[in-house]
Amino acid sequence: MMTSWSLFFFGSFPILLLVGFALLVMAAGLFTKKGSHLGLLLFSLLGIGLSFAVSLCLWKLKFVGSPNMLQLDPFAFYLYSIILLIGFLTCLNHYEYFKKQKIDYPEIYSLTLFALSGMLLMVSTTHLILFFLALETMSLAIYVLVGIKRRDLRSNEGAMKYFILGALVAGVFLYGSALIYGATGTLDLSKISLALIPAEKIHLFEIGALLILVAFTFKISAVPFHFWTPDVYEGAPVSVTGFMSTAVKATAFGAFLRFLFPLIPFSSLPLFDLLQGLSIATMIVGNLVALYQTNIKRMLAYSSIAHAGYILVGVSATYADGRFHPESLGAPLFYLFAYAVITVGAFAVASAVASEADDNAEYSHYLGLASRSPKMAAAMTIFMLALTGIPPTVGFAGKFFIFREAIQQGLYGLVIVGVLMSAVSAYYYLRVIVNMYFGKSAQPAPGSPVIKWALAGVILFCVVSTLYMGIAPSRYLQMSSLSGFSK
Amino acid sequence: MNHLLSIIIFLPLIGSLLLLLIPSKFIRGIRVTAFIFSLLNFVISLKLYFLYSPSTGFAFVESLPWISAWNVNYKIGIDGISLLLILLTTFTTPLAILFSFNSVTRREKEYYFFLLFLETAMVGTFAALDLFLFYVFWEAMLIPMYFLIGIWGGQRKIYAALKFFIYTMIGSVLMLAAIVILYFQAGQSFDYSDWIQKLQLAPTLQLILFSAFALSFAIKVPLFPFHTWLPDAHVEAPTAGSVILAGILLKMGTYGFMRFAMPLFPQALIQAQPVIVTLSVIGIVYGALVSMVQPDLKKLVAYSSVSHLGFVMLGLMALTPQAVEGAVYQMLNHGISTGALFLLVGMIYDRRHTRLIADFGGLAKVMPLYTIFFLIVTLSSIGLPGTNGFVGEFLILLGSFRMMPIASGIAASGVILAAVYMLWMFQRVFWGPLTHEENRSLKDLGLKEVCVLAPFILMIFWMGLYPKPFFNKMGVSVSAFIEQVKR
Repeated sequence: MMTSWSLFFFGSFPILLLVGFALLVMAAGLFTKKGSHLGLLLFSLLGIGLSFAVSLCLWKLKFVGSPNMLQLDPFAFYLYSIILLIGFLTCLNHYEYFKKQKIDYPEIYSLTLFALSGMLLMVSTTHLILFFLALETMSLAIYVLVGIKRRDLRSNEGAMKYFILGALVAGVFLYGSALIYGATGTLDLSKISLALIPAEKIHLFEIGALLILVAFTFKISAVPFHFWTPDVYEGAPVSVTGFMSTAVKATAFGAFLRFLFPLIPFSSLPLFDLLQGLSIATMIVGNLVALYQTNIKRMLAYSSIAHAGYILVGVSATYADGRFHPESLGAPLFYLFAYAVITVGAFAVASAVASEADDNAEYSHYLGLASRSPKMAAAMTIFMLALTGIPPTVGFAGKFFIFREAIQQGLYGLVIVGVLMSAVSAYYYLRVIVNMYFGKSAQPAPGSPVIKWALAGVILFCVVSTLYMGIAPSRYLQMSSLSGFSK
Repeated sequence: MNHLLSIIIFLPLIGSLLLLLIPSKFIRGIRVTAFIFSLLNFVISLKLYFLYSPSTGFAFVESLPWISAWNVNYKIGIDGISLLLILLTTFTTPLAILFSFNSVTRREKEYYFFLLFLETAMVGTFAALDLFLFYVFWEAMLIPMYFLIGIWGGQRKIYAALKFFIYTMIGSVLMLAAIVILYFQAGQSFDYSDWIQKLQLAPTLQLILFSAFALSFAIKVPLFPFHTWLPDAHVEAPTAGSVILAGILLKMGTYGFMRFAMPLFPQALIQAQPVIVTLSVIGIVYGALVSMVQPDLKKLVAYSSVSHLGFVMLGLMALTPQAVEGAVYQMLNHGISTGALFLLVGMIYDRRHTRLIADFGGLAKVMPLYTIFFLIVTLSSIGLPGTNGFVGEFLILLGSFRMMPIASGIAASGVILAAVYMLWMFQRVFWGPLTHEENRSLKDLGLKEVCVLAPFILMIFWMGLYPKPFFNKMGVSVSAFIEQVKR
């Protein structure tokens, strides 16, 4: 029988490995030649790979349980795999993108690793203090990554906005935690039971729950706390934007799903209705505003808001009528995976197209891409169709899964808004295709984007998995359905 | 298990993937490969025709588990109706490809890739007996058609392509929601036969679900007032695209009514029948009147489709054996006559780069062969006895007159109007003096063009004079359909 402490020790290994490698990469950065980051890249990839291997071993050896403050369950390991996969692909993206932009900071890799370690911790704890630490580890690293283009005004603006709002939200979260602690006397959400909440303190608990909800709504960029998203996504370097819209989203949604479990049933507030309202507002606002964007990064930012709305449909199905339905949990989890694969790919193409002088990724940069670089245009087409939810891509399978669960739980209103908004979204996703295939560039062609092995590998991987998981999703559906968390 | 049907579905897809491997320089190789694959598919589908012996239920059924988590199966099969529509598809595609040899000169590899891909999706849609599979093929049709219009289309191609895509998608996403609801009603099964046997729906639910299906199909038919995408899409599409759009894609709508919307919701149909009949009759008259005033040949043919498809819907709604058989027959007729008309218009457009009726006149003097072909097709479109159009329209009017005398009385005026707009157009284009100098030097049809048109002419007379082989195959399926709807 494993003692709780040794389980804790081994269980935190994937996270510790990442932290260790982050420190090593940071130190190694001091000694690398200017402009040659290959070693750092390989080192970071090694760290991520090892962390993944260790978590796989832990999973295979059944190191499952909740030692001290950690929750090591299938849910955590499932999200570990998504996050680490995104991290792996993102480092490859970073390598080529920053080289092309001639931005020479070796810290990029170690910051990414730090962020990853925070993310892993976030999805595997329900302890409020530990969670807060994890949240800050992730967020601080990402604030820096957003602003890493020091001489770029937009990048600075994005970082500043994200930092100030993020700090505010961290405060809101802390305040909520304090209230919950005051009401229940425990910091571990999984230990809260109805018996722990005295009747006269139920309001404290409810306000605390609401504040925590607000903090999560900010992190998943759901309406009405989404205003930071487009500016930050636009300002950040493309590869960082890709990282944020996938890894941060997966992490925040993972933790959100876990946190709602004690919060929803124990409060008399209509949190489930609130969730539904959030979901509808997020889908509508995200999709409608995306129609008017002229910049690919901003479009993808609003699209990421819209997709948060779809995932919220899945979250609502999981907590339909204020009760927890473990059988529906697979839908949002599968969607996170699907969305991550597609979006990382889309951002990889975007970072290849981003020209050296100007990193703005306007729609017009895609004019005539199909004749300049047919393979990249074909890949982008597949990603755009997948985001629209056209079969047989994984985007369709994901949306189908979510709407299936929602209908099973009787949430017809959400489904109707969801499917209609997917039809609306076709317009702005297809505009990218229109530009690539149907349009001709007015200016002389900027030359075909050159990509090397790293980016080509990422794009190829994402295309293959977008199609493969769409045509034969059985295994992945099962995997996500089995990844419940222990209560 | 016999895989004949699967081969017919996927052979074009294999061909299209093969095309990707051929370097774009070998244009001849690309053309020949595309043509051979589509021709081969036609030959194989003839075998299907000879092997099919009429019986109730489905033949050539294949069933394999696909996504076990959702109980989705790859289940296909045909009855007499879908057999004929599949034959129409495999008949039209090689001819459309052959025609394109001369008229498409840009990005040919992608062009033939999309055409073959489209054939797979179309045959799959007609053969699918699992509703999930049906939806996948149904949506997959959108992508190639979107590109065909968008890349090789005319002046306002981008607008037309987007309108086509979004219009169709809005209908189909609502159908998707309805499909998922039915899936739960039928005990988590997508199997069509299960649905027909098991579903017991409350009247209100039936009406709601029927509306969702009917909307999706009505857009595709297109039923008045959902037809506005059609003139744009037809006019802007390249000739082969128009041929396939009119010849086959519009039949998806009427086929969808026959296979799904009507038999699945018999009670709702009774309520909706007057509405649909009214809309069909309006469509017949409106389409004909609008055709009459079109200055553009292609637009004229496009609006005449609205009128012709109105007849098909009228026949389906009458639910007498004669009328339904006439409707199915008229689906084939329209595919052949209108397909041929679009080809003829395309041929003159390739020579003169205009489609305005006013730019022609007296063509009979310079292009006698072309005139003869055009005359035959015109007469078939009007429904002159001895041509295919007569058989279909006559049966529809005969069969529906007893059930709804007023509606069919008004519809009969559509036949007269058809004669007016077609003959008037013919007169203005071919008779009279040669008023335009440019028209004097027009070349008559070449051998390849005659080869493309001859099969259509053959079918026009064959189906007009000896329709028995077609009715033989569909008779049993039609009576089975009526029985299901009237249960």
